[in-house]
Amino acid sequence: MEQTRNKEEKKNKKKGKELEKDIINLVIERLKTVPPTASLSIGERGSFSVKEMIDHVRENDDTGKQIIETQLEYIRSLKDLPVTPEEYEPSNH
Amino acid sequence: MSLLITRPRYDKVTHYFFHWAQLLINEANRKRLKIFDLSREKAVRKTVESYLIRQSPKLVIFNGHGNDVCITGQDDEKLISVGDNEHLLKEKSVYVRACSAGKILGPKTIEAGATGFIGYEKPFIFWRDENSFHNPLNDTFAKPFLECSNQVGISLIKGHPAREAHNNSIKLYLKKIIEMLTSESYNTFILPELIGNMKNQVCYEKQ
Repeated sequence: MEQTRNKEEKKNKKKGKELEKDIINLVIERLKTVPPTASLSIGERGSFSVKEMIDHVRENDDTGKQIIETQLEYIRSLKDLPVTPEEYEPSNH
Repeated sequence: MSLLITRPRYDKVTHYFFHWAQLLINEANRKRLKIFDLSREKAVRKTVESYLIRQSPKLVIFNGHGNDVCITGQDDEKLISVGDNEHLLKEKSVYVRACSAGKILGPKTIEAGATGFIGYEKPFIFWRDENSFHNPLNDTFAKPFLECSNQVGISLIKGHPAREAHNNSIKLYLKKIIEMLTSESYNTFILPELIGNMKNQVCYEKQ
């Protein structure tokens, strides 16, 4: 029983790592399409060239994670985007 | 009505905000508002506090850096911080173009008596073209980010309440996003961050 559970955990961990690697590669491929003169300003973190962004994504450090998260949120949001501005309901606080 | 606007300028981000905020000042001039333009070395705590107390502007627009609990001015000097001086924004309509101040400072400012607050819950991110650094108003990568955020200020200057100003800005974001998604625009790479800023823009109003 214990052995089966450990095997399952190892399998899931491996799957998770593979998925993380796939996501990193996906984001890097997307960034490679950005014009070379473009740079991204992330508040106080500073400004990053495309090459620097790719390095951060590869490193998977805090800046890289921020870039990955923004890209993933974008991909997820595509299915919810309205066709016209009138259909959008801004969040209420 | 009177407007107090801060425009520090000491790094690439504030350089862009400084120039784009000039368009808000132009609009305020057209609307004949009394303007207190605290730019560069004037965007420091002592001066901001003095103008908030003595001139009591009804509309306050901050440009610069920030975090969950504070807004900064020239050379990163803290201007407004939670638990310190947010009460100075009482009875004012406030827009903060800076990172993350919408998360905690926003609601706290409303608790302290502000009539409205618009800001961002997460970092305000934008793309720039390095070739346009000396001409930020013509930077085609940065333009959608700064036009959509400027719309908040323009609506407030025109006298709209915070909620309407927020909604007008969101409509402009969506117009630009839809235009980009349905055209052969070459700069669609900016969409993740543009949509991110739109989703992170929050509005609070006094109940």
